[in-house]
Amino acid sequence: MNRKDGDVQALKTEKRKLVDENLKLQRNVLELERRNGELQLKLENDEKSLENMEKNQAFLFQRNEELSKQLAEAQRSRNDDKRTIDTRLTDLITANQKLRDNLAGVLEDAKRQSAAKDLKITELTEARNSLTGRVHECEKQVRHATELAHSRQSHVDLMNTKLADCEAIVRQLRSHQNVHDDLNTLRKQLSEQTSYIRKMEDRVQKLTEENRYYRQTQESIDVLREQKASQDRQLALMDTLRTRLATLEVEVTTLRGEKAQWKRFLEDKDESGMDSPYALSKALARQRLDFRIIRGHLDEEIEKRNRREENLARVEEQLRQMAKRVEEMEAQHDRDERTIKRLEKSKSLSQKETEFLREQLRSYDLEEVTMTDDADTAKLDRLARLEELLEEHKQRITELEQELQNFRNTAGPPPNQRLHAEDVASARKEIMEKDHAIRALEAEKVMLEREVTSLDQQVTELLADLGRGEYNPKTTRILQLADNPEAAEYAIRAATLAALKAENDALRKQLLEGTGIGARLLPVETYQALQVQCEKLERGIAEEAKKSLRLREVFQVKANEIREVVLSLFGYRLDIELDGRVRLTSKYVKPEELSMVFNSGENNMGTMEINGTTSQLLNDAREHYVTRHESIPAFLGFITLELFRHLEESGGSG
Amino acid sequence: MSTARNSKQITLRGSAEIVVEFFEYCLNSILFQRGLYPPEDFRPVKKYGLAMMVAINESLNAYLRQVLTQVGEWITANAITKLVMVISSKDTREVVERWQFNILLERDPRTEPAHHSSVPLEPKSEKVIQAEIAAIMRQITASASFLPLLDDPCTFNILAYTDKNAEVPATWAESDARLITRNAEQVKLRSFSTSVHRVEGLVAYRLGE
Repeated sequence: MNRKDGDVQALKTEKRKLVDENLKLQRNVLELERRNGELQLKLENDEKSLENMEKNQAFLFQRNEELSKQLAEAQRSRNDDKRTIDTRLTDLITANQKLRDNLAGVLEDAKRQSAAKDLKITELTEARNSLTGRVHECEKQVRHATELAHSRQSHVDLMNTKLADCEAIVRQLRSHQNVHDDLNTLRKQLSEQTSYIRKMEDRVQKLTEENRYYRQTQESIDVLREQKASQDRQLALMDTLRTRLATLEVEVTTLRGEKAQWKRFLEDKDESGMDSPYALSKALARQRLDFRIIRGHLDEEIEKRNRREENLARVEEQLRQMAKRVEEMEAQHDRDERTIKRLEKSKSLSQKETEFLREQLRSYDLEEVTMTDDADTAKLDRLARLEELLEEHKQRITELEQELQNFRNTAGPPPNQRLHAEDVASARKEIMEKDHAIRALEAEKVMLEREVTSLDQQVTELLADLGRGEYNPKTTRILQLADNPEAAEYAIRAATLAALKAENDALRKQLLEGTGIGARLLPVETYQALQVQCEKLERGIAEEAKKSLRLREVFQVKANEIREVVLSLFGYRLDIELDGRVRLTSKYVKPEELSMVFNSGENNMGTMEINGTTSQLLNDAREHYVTRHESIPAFLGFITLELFRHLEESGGSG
Repeated sequence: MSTARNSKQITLRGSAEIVVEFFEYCLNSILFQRGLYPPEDFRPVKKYGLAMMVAINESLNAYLRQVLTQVGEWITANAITKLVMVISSKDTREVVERWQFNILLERDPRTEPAHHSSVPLEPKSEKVIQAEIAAIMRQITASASFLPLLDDPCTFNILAYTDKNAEVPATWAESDARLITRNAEQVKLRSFSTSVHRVEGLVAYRLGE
């Protein structure tokens, strides 16, 4: 009995333990189911977020494709522009090559011309050398003649001295009457001497004539020397001129080529609508501006694209993180599922154990039935209570299972997870709203930009209208002086036209009438028209005469001013003679004492004639400055200084 | 003029005189630069620190004097907004150039004295004004470089854009705007201000065929 009580006790303990374990298992099951639900919800949310992200990714990918298309289009237009520019560059290079060829041709021509010029220069140099030789010979002759003249002059002087001596002797002899014979002798000697002196005077006369001839020759030699000097100068200038000529020829050829190109370009009928270099330059400038604007847009688009790529990368990074989290959650889910299975197995094991215990209890019941005599009512009561308790537990398990089922059917995610999902949903909603707002703002920005562009265009057009002179007739009126140059001009034209019309009508009438009385006479309208024309021409003549008079007056005034300026600044009075020669007279000397006459000839040649008293110093200065250094200003400056010095020494002043 | 120049704050009349004087030299300069009259019809005078060309043609001077006297009165009465010199072809009467000068009243000293002005303007010195005018004159001289050559013989006329209610002498008559009808281009010139009036220049011209 005691053993039976002990067994019952042990069974009860076991039953309690089983019940506890069952409860514990049920709690675990519930907990696992709850966690399973949470994980499923989380999985669903993650799947939704994954879907959204995929949508975003698809949208961004689409945008990226659009941007890439825009970029490709911009690059294509840029390539087109580049191709156009390259074509133009090629054209320009071809033109440049042509110009270079032309230049080479021109250079060859220039070389040929230069060789011809060199030949001419050589000829001129030879002519110059021959002239120089002639000049030297003439100089030698002149020098010889001068020496001869000097020697003869000294001889004449000597003879004059002797004559004077003889006359003195004669006078002395006359005073002495006693020497009559000697006197006769002396008279004879005197007559001889006189005849000799006459001969000498004749000779001197001849020599003087010869000298005059040589002086004239000397003048012509001076002229020749001047010509030689001017030729030398001309030769010296030839090099500069040749260089200048070559440069100018090259320029002319270049300009002709350019002109021909422009002409060709202007003659070519194209669809560009550019009919002048200005329009072309303008169109080119506009295209450049457009190109810059497009480049600016392209840069902006590239920048936007870069920003979007960055956003895309960020989103992809977020996507990767989310995928990682999903993987982690799936792993957790797998682990949880495994735990659930294990727990379910342990639950079924516990159920089996419970069944076993129930069977054992049933066997106990059967044993008690078979042993009714020895049954203890108290024990039976306890067993009955235990059975009731067991029934209650079963009922409780059923209720709990029912509740679990209900809970599974109706329950949502747990509060903390729901909160998280709400946050995510609100954030997502907010992001979408922001995206919408950004898209709307961008669209608005584009619209505003378009509006700004159209307004700019409108402003430009309005400014152009204002520039053209448009006005509001309601508030403004345009006035002109009734008697204005334009009206006067058109009145004259109208009068001429009216007169011509009348004349024309009259002539036509006369022609139609044929042989009338006044057919051969001049129509009065013709006369009137001619009168109008005559008046117009007379007015024109009066205008021209007035203009000419004004010019003459101005010229006279200016010429006097220039002469005064030259006199005060350079010290020379400038007179232009009737034959075109220029006479210079220093302000420090009288005109009859010294003046210089300049005559300009052809080929930049000229002569200088010095009138008045000349001195050796002046001749030396002329030789030095004019002949050797070919500087007339220096010669004139020397004369001025010398005359000023002379005047100062003699006590006067300028 | 002296009242305008000597006082620190320029008067309306003084400002109008400066503007009229500017127009006188400006119109003469345009007539010379564009070759509407032969060069011997002009003589050089020193003005604005530049050698300006002034006409000695008596009929031309009389016309300009008559126009500018009236323009001065309109400027003083604030009844003129634009002064336009129209250059037209004698043969076709077509307008080839329009030299337009907008006259804006920046501040009316009669209704808004300097010390009561909400935005007090610094009075401009004569030197500054002349420097601004000289810049316009230089620009007019330089405009010969870009303006098309006037191949045909041309004449000119001066138009005044006045207020509808402005007093008009009997010698003046209404005109149309004389616009350039085709191939028009325009270049804005510099402006100058007397601190009472601002004058803005603009030249519109017809490009060749």
